[in-house]
Amino acid sequence: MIYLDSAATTKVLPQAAEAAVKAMCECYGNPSSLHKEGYLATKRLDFCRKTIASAAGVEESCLYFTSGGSASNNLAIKGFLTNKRKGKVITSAYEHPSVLECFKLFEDKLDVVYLEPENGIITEESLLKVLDKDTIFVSIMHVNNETGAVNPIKELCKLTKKLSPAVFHTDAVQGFLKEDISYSFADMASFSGHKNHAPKGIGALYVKKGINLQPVISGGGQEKGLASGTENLPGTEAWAEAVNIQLPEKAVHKAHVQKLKDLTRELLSDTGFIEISPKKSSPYVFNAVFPEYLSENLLHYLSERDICVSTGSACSSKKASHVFKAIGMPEYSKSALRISYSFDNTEEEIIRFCEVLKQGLSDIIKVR
Amino acid sequence: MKEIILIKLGELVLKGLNRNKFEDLLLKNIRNSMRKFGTAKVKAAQSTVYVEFEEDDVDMDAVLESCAKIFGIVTVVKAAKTDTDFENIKEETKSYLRMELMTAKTFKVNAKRADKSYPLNSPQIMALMGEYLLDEFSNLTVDVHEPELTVTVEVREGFAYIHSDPIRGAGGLPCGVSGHALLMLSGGIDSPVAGYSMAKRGLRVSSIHFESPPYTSERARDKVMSLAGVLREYCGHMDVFVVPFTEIQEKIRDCCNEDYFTVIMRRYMLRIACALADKYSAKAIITGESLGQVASQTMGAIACTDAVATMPVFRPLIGTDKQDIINVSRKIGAYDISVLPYEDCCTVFTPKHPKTNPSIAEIEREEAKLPADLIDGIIERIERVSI
Repeated sequence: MIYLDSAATTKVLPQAAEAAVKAMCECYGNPSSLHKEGYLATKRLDFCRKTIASAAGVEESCLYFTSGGSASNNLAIKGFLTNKRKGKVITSAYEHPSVLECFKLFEDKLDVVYLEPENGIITEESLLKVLDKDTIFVSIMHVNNETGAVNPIKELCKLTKKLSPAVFHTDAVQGFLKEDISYSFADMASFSGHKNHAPKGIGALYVKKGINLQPVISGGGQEKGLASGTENLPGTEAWAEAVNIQLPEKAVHKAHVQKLKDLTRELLSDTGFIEISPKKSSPYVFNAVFPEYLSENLLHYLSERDICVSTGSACSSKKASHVFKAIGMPEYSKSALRISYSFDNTEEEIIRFCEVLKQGLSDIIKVR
Repeated sequence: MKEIILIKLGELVLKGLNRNKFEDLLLKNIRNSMRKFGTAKVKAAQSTVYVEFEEDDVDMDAVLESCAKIFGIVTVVKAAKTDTDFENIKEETKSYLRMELMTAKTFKVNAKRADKSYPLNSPQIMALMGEYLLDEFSNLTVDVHEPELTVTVEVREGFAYIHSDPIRGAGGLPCGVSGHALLMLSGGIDSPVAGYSMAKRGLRVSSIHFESPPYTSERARDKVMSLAGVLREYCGHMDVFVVPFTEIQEKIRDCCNEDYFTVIMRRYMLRIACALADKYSAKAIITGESLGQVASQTMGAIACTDAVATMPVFRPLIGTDKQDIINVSRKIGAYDISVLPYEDCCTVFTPKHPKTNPSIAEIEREEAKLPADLIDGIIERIERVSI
């Protein structure tokens, strides 16, 4: 199997899986229990928190574990906006659905502005045009999951702080452990474990001190009341282990996948594809349109030959992509393939993928 | 472009002959704080400290924030460092301060020329730079009296520095210039604030903590260590001395009239603290007492506690309301930890009706019931934890 869909999810590292098993079988206490087993679980939880917070460049006491990226985005947006009666909120038109769907809920109460990207990127200029003193919340993703576009998130945050009293959130799910940035500049940032070789079901939200959120889930008050429910220690242990393995290699991994992306581009150069990933994009994502083909056909062709890619974001692969609408290329939406890499992909895999894809382009009947 | 930090010194410049000593200590404290970010060159010239990292990937925002916590610093700012070619300075100003220039309505240019051989003098730099920025940014107009943005260009030998308005530093005096003192750190809201306040006046602070297992838990101890961690951010380093206090508390409970329990306990704490301070050459004790806040903090109770002190006891919060203490606690990042619900030794065996105005004679009569060797050897059993 050649797996080139790491922006959807990744294979769990064996060491991370081991850490989870150990937590399940040996450190099984409930961190809320007062006895020794509970205390040990608390200590382990704190250790995981420290590891992940330091990789994200944020203060550990401000990192709250959740059940994943969507849960983090929901907590950040609903948690902040629930009690607000008026004001302007700004996001981008190509956010992940867990952001966009949250904002939809507030459209009748608040003035929700969806920024359109320019050349694939949310620019300072476009944010500057809509920011004002009534703006209470801004949420812009760091790395777009479909195109790999890297937004100038630090500058956008700085601009927001300068011109408005708004709180700035970023969905950092595709940027964590991949981009060279520490997220402490933002007021809130969402993270997920399974995009970086940890299991599904674990994520985190960074919330800067002084920002008050309403919990989305009520219950036993875990995570300082923000994410009730018994803490997922197997998940945090696996995530921390995965982070510990990948963090020291971050630069090496990045250079490696950049090579894979360049190689893909080079090997496919004679196929007439149109690259959708903007100039400033993550080396982990390569999005290309094959104008006269249906990407779904290509996907199945590749899948039958044990190669996994995506037609776009896994969450929206059945619908026409809102991302392509946002970047002004709705007509290409059905012809785009997203190839997303991991450090464990090899050049041989890319060569094989490109060969099979090219064969597919000649085997499959064009639609237009 | 290299980004560096410029720091302006505080009260230091006023301290006459001691200035060098103060400055050296501050530089040492800055170097110490910078270590976690990378390899920093820290040097002082003309009441400005320059902090420059060898590495290129240092998070300079985090560095700035960290510098703003160091006592003895009045203002701090990030700056771009370039060569002195004026065309380059202009280009760099435009790109480095782009965000500020894009969003401001009014601005002025401030120039400092330490390198007198530079072909342009300060007024010329200001005029040429102002003109250039007006051309580049149509949103800007000049206001020399109350500008929203001040663009500063400093030309020194070999390099130019460009920055916008600095942020306020922590003020105060560099930790250590006033000597070394021992903070009684309980785990509540007040004591970390007291430690912070005295560190701000130049004291090097270590902490003493009393624990009483099984009446207090491991979690209570962790909480104290976290609070000490918060203080370390401001003090540079922090040792916590943990006193095993269970037996002493039990003895006081068994032998003495319950109503006097808290004051007697506090007298023993202070005796132990003074003895420990002596051992480590600390010259004062710091407590978080605020007059009238609880029964042991009335004037009478404080007089009884003070009577056993062998050195000055600093109580920086004595005249401060609880809400004001809470505000500082939040500001320094201790509050969320302080309110965690674990019992500390001060709340173990608390009497139902404590004496609010005990006399020294009454207290001494009660203490006479205790074994004379109650705290013998305790100093040797204290555990030292470096945070």
